Amino acid sequence: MGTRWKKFRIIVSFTAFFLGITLLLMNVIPILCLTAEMDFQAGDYQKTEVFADYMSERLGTLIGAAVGGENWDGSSYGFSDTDTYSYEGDVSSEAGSFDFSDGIRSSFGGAEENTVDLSEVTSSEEEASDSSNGTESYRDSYLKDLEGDSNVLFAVMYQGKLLSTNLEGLTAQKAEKGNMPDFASYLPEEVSYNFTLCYNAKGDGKVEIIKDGTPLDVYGNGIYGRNSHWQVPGYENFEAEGDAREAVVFLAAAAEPKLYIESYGQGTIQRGGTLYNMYEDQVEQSGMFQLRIYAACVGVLLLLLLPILHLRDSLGEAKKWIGCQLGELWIEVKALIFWGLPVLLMFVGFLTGSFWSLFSQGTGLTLCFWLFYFGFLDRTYNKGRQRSLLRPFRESLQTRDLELPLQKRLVRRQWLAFAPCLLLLAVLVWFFLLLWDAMYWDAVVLLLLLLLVCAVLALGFSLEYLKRNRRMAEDIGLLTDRIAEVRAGELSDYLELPEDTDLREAAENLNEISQGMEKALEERTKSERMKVELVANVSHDLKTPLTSIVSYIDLLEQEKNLPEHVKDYIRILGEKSERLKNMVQDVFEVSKAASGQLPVHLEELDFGKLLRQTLADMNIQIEKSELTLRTTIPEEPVLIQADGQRLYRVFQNLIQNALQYSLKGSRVYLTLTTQDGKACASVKNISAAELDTNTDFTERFVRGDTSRSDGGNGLGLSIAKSFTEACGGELQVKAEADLFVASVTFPVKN
Amino acid sequence: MNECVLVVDDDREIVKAIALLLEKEGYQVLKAYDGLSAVMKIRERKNLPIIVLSAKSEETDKILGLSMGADDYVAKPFSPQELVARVKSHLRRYTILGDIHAESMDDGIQNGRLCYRISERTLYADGEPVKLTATETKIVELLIRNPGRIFPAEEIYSRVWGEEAFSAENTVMVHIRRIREKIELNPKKPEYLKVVWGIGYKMEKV
Repeated sequence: MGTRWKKFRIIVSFTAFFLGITLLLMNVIPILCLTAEMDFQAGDYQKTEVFADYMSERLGTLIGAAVGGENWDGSSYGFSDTDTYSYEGDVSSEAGSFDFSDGIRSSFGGAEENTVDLSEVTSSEEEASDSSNGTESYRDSYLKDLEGDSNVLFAVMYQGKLLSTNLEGLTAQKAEKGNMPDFASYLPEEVSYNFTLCYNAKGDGKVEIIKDGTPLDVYGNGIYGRNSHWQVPGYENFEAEGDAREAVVFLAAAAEPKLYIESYGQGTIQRGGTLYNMYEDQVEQSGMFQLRIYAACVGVLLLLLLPILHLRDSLGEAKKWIGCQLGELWIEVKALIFWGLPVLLMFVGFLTGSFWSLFSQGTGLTLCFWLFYFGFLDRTYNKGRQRSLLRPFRESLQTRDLELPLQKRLVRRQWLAFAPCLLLLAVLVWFFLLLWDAMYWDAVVLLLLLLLVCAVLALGFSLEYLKRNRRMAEDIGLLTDRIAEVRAGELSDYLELPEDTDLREAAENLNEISQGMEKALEERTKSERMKVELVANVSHDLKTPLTSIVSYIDLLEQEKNLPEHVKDYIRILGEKSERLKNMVQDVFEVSKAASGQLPVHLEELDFGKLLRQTLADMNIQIEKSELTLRTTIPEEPVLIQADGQRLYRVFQNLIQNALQYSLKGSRVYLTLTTQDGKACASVKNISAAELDTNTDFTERFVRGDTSRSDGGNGLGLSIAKSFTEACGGELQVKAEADLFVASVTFPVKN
Repeated sequence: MNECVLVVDDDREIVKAIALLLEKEGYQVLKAYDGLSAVMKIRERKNLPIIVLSAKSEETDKILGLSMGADDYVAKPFSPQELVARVKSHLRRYTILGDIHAESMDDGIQNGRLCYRISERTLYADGEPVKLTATETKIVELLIRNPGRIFPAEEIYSRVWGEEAFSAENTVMVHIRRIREKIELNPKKPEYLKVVWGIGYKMEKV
C-alpha cells in the first residue's frame, strides 16, 4: 500500500509539473506577443490599424471617384504607406493602395506615375466589367460594386449632388435639398453600424468619426506623422484642397460584418470579405487569447499544487527516476536529442525565417525547454557514469596504443594532432584553386593567398618540429628502456646519446645513477661477505676449543669415584657447554640468513603435515612440559613453497619458545588457517613473565624477560624470522598484555 | 681387540681426549698433530677407514672432505660418544664385515652401514643384527626396499598396520624415533631414517 501510494504520488507530481510547465511555456510567450501587438484589440476589429487603413483608403478612393468625374481611372485622393495591410482576393481594397516611395504625398486627380500600378491591379476587374457591361464607365462599375457590400454603407456627394450610395432611403432628391442630409439617420435599424465616418459634411474638408455614439479624435495634434492612425485629409500638412473640398463622403461600418455573395453571370461574386475577415480574425484571436490565458492559469495552478500537496519530495524522486532511466541511454544518442535537436531547431528556424513564429507560438520554446531540461537531468544524475557507444572503440584504441613502445606512441600521437592541420591546409588549397579558376582577384583572394603562404610556412616549420620530436621520442624510448634495464639490475651498461640531443643530460644523469648504484651494491655485497666471513671465522675458531671442552667433560663424566658435589659441577659444565655449542651454531646460521647467504631448497610441501610432523617430533618435550597444546590444523593439504628443513626449525623454535616461556598450566594454541590465498600458522601462548609490548622480539639476543637468563639465547625468534623470510614467508610477532602471538604466513600454491 | 686408531688434530687437547676415549674402548691409539696432509698420504698407500674431524660444518666442506678420500666427516663440536660409535662402526665394517658383505649380496638389501636380509627379516647395522620389534621391522622393510622414496605417514600407517590412519603422524613418528635410536650413530642427526618436512619419511640412499 505504502509503496503504491508513493508511486502514485510520484506519477501525479511529475505529471502536474510537466503539464504545468508545458501549459505555462506554451502560452506565456504568445500572450505577451499578442498583448504587445498593436492590432490586437480584443475582438473589436474597428480599433485595428488595418481597419483604419481600409477606411482611409476607401475615403480616398471615393473622394477620388467624386472628383475624377466620368473619366475617373481609379486613382485615390490621399496617401498610403508602403506597408499597407492588404487582404488577398479583395480587389476593392487594393484599388486605393499606392506605393509611394517616401513620406506624405498628396495626389489630386491621380498622379501619372501611379496609374500603372492601379491599372495592373484592377485590369482583371475592368475586363470583367467590360465584358458584362461595356457601356458603363469604370467609375460607375466601381461604385456599383461598392453598393453591393453592405458591410460598408456609403454615400458620395459632389458639388451638392448625390453621386452614389447604398444607404436605403437616401435618394438624390433628398440630398439635393440644399442642406446636408443627416446620413446617419438612413442607417438601417436591424443591423448595427456602430462606426460612421463623415468627410467634409461641414465644408471644412475634415473628417468626423463617430464610434459607438462617441466622436473619435481623428487628427490628434493636427499634424500627420508616423503615429497618426487615420490617413485622411484634414491635417495641417495634408489638407483637402480644390475639388476635394466640394466632395462629401459618408461611410458606415457594420459592427459584425458578414459575407455578401451574389450570383454574377455564371459564378458568384463575394463582397464585404475584407471587413468580414478582419472581424473574424479579431474574434478568433480574442478567443485564442482567452483560451491561452486560461491554459496559462491552469499551468500556474498545477505548479502551485506541488507545494500545496507537499509533492515536492515526490517530484524529486520522479526526477531521480527519470535521470536513472536516462542513464540507460547511450550518451551519443542523448547528446543528439537533448542538445543537438534544439540547436538544429533554432538553426532551421533561422534558415527558413520561421524562427520567430516558431517561438512566439510557444511550441518551439516548450520543446527546447524540455529537451534542455532532460539533458540537464541526465547531467545531474548520470555525471561520470555515462554509457557510451564509442567507449569500447576508444578503449580498444587506447589498449592498442599502450601495446606499442613509448617512442612509437609519442610519434603516433603527434601525427594524430598534425593530421587535422594537414586536412585544413588541403581544404584551403582546394578552395584557393577553385577561386583561381574564377580569376576573381580581390582583397579576399589576396588575403586567402597570404593565409595559404602562412599555412605552408607553418606546415614546413611543424614538419621540422615533428622531425625533431620524432628523434626526441626515439631518445625517450632509449632512455625508458635503459631505466627498465637499471631496474632489472643491469647496472654496468652505458647509454650514450648524441651531444646535440635534448635528453643527453638526462641520459648522463641516469648513467651516473646506475654507476653509483653499482658501486654501492658492490660495496654492500663486499661488506656483507666480510661480515659473514667474520662470523664464520669466529664461530670456526670457537668450535675447536669447544670440542675440547665437550670432550673433556665427557671424560670427566665417565670418571668414577668422584665426590657427589664434583659430579654436580660436571653436570652443570655439561649443560653450559651444550648451550654454548648450540649458540655458536645459531649465531653462525643467523648471520648467514641475515646476509641472505642461507642456502634454501624450495619445494612444494603440505604446511599442515609439516606442523603435525613437527608436533610429533617434539612430542616428548611437549608432554614433559606442564602445558596443554591445542591444535587446529585442517586435514586437507595446504600446499606452500618452502624449505621443509628450515621451516621445521622455525616451528621448532616457535614451539620451544612457547614451551619455555609460557605460564605454567596455561594452554598453547597452534592454528593453521587459509584466507585470501595465504596460509597462516600461528602459535599463541600466555607469557609467564610480563612482556614489554614495545620490544621487537625478533631482534637478535632479545628476550621477553630481560632480567632472567634461563637457558634461552635470544636467537630462537631471530632464526625463525630469518628462516621464514629466506623461504619467502613472513613472520609476525605480536604481544598484547600477556598474550604472545607468533604467526608465519606463506602464499598458498594452487 | 688389537685395532689401532690414528688420531690426528692440530689441537693437542682434542687428540688427547679422543685418545683417552678410544683407549677406554680398548683401542690402541697413535697420535699425530698435522691432519691436512695425513689423509692424502694414507690414501696413497692404504685403504684404511678415515674419519675427518672439522670445525667447518658446511655441506660444501663435508663434500670436499669426503671427496679427498675420507670415509666419514664429523663436524666440530662433536659429541665424543658419537665419534666413538663412528670409529667402532668403521672398524667393524673394515675388519669383520668384509666376507659377510660379499655373502649377503644376493639376499640382502645393502644401504651404507645397513643391510636388510629379507629371508631373515632382520636388519644388520655394521654387520650386527639390530633388535627391532615386528612393527619397526615392517617400517624398516618398507623404507629400505624403496630407498630415497618419500612415504607420507598415512601410507606408512596403512601399509604397516593395515588399517585407515587416524593419528598417523604421531604414531609413525614415535616408531621412527625408536628405530633411529637403534640404527643411527647420532639419533639427533639421522643419516638414514630422515623426515622430509611437510611431505613424509624416507630411507636415505647412502
